[in-house]
Amino acid sequence: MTEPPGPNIPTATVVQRRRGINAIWVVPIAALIASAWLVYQAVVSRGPVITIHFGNAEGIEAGKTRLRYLNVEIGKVTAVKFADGGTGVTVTAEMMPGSDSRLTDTTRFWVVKPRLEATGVSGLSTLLSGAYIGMDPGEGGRSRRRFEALDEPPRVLSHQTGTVYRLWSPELESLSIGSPVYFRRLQVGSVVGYALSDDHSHVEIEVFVESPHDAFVHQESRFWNVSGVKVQASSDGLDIDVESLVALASGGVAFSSPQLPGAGGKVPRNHVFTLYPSRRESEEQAVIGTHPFLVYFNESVRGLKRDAAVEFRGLRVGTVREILDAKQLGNGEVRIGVLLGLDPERMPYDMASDLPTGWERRLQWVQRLADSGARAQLKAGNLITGQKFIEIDIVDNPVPVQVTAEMGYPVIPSAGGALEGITQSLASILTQVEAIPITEIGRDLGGAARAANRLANDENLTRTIRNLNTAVSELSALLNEARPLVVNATEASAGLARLMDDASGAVRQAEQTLQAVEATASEEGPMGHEMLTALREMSAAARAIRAMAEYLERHPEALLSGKK
Amino acid sequence: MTQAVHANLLGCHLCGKLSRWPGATARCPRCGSTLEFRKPASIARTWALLVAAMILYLPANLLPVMRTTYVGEETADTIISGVVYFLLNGDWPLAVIIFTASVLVPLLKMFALGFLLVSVQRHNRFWRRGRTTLYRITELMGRWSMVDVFVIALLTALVQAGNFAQVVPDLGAAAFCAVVILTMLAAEAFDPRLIWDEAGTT
Repeated sequence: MTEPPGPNIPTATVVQRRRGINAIWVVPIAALIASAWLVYQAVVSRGPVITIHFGNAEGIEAGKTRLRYLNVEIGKVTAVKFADGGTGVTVTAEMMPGSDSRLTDTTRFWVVKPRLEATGVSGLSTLLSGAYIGMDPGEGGRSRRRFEALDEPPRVLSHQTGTVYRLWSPELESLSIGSPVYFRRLQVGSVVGYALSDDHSHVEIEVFVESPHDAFVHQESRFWNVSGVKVQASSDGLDIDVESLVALASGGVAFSSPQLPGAGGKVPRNHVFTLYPSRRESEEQAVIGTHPFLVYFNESVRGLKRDAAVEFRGLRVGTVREILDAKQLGNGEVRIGVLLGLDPERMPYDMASDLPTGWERRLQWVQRLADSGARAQLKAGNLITGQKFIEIDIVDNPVPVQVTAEMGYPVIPSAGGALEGITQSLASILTQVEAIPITEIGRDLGGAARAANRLANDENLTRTIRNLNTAVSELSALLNEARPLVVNATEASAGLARLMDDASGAVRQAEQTLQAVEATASEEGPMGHEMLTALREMSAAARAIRAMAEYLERHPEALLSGKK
Repeated sequence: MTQAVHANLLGCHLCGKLSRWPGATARCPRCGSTLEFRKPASIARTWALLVAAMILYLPANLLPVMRTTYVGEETADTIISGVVYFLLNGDWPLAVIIFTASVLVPLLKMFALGFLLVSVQRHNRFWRRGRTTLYRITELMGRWSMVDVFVIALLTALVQAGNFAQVVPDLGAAAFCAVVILTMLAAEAFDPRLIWDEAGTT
C-alpha cells in the first residue's frame, strides 16, 4: 500500500554526527575486567588448602569451623571426611591468602573448646561461637600442607618467649600438664609435658619458664615439688604450708636460685634438673639417684649393700640400687654388676645434649666422664664393719675406653685393685687378733677362782674362823679390862690400816683385771658370771684372812697352843 | 508491505511527528529529538550488552551473594547454595521461585536475545510473529529477576544485630545485579523492527 507522501510532511533537520567505533563496546570490556577481578579475588587469591588429621571431629563442622591464630581468623574448614585407610578424620581447610609462610613442619593445630582444668577454665568464648581450630605457626621448617592435630592445646606457643627445662623425678607425683611453676611464689611458667623415660627408670617432666624469669634459672637452681599440703608438727605448733590453691589442686613445681658467688651460669634449654620431693630435700640437696648406670667389678663386693653411697670426691652423687648376680664372661673372667642411681647434675660433666633419647644422652655423658679419666672404684667406708661404697674419681693413667651399654644401661668403667691391699692388711690384723688365746686366759682365770673358792670352803678354815670369832669376843672383854694395852692396840691398828690399804689396792687391781677380762670375754656370759662369783668369794676369804692375821698378831702363841 | 523507510519517512519517537528524511542524520522539526529509521547500531549495542551480561553471569552464580552471620557463625551463600538449602529443607516452592527468577530467567533471556540477534543478522524470515512475541516477553520479564537483589537488600537492612545476626551482601550480588541490568539494557537496545525488515514488500 504505497501512499504518496503528502506535501505537508516537512523535511527533518539535518545534524552532523561524528561516526566512529561504537562506545557501547566499553560495557563488555568493563564486564570482562570486572569478572576477571572477581575471579581473581575468588580463585587466584584464595589461600592454600590444607588437610589436618584429627582423632575425632568433635566440634568441627564443615563450612563453619574457623582456624585461628592469635584469635585472628586465618582459615575455614571446608570439608570433614574419614581418613583414608586409617582411623580418625581428615579435615580440609582453606587458609587465608598469604598464610603460606606459616604452614610449615613446626605448625601445630588443635581444637579449642571449653576446657575445665584444675589450673583454670579456658576456651569459654567457644561456648557461643562454637569450637575452632587453633593454630601455632612455629619457627622455621619446610612448607607443608598435611598436618597432624594435637590432642591437647600446646602449652607453649611459638610467640611466647622463655626456656624449656627438663626435670627428672622418680615419680610424676601429682603433676599434670599445665601445673604451675613458681619462683618465689610467683607463677613464672608451667609444666608443658611429661614422659616416662625410655628405660622407665624415671619420669622426665618438661617445664616452661617464661621470659624474663628464665634468666633466674642457673646451674645451682633447685626444683622441687609443691603439690599438696605440707603439715609439720613441732614444738612451735602446727606448720601448714600450701604453695597455692592451684598447686593444691593440680600440683606444681617451684624452684629457687641461690645467689652464690660464681653461680649464675645460664643453662641452655633442655637442661636437666632433679625434681626434689620437697623444699627441704632440695635445700639439703638430697640424693635422688634418678639415672641408672651399670658398673662392673672384678673384685669382691662384700660389704657393698643396697642404698650404699656413690660419691664423687667425697660428695654424694648417687645410690647403689641393686647388686646383680655374678656373671662369667667368655674369657672365664667373673664380674659382678652393680646398678647405680646417679644424679648427673652433681657431677662436673654437662649432660645437656641435643640427642633425642635419654638413653643416648646418658651414653654420651658416660663417654664424657670416661674420657676425662673418671672411673668407679670400690672403697671401704668402715674398716671394722667392712662396709663399702663406690667412689667415682679421676684415676691416674686411665686406659681409654669406649663406653658401651648393657641391659639398656650405660656402663661406667671401673678401676679395680684400690681396695685389695687394704683388705689384705686388715685380714692379717684380724688373724693376729684371732691368735690371742682369749679362751685359755679365761680358763686360767677360772682355775684360779676355783682354787680360791676351795680354800674359802675348807672346813679347817671355817673352824679357825669360828674360833677367831670367839677369840674376838673374848678379846673385846679383855680390851675392856686391859686399858694399858690400848696404846699398843692403836699402833697395831695403824699397821692394820696399812695392811688394809694394801689389801684393798690389791683388790682394786684384781677388779681392774677382772673388768678387763670381763670386757674381753663378755661374750662368754657364764664365765663372766662365774668370775664375778669367784671374786666375791675371794674378797670374803680375804676378810677371813685379815681377821686371822689380827688374832695372830695379838696372840702369836696361838700358833703353838691353839686357840684358847 | 510498505515500510516508512522505503518512503523516506521518519517518525519521531517522542512526539510522533512524521517528517521527510533529508538523507543525513536528522532532528524532529517539532520537538528537536534525534530521528532515526531504526535504533542506531542496535545489533552491535545489543551484542555488547549481552556479552557483558554473559561474562558477569559466571561470577554472579559462582560467588556468594550473601554473607550471613548468625550467632558467631558466618556462612556465605551463592544463589545455587540458597536454592539447595531451601530444597533440602523442604521449601521447594521457594526453591523453585528463586531458581526460576535468579537462574533460569536471566539465562533464558540471554538465550532469547542471542537467538533474536543471530536470526536477524542471518536475515532469517521464519517465525517472525513468534520471535516478536519472544522479544516482548523478554522485555517484560527483565525486571522480575531483580527479586533476588531486593531480598538481599531487604535482609541487609533488616538483619543488623551485630555478631548475633547480620546479613551482608557480597560481590556475587553486585555481579548478579549487573547481569539483570545489562540484560534489560540489551533488550532495550534491540530493535524488534529489524525482525520485519527482511519482510520486503508483501
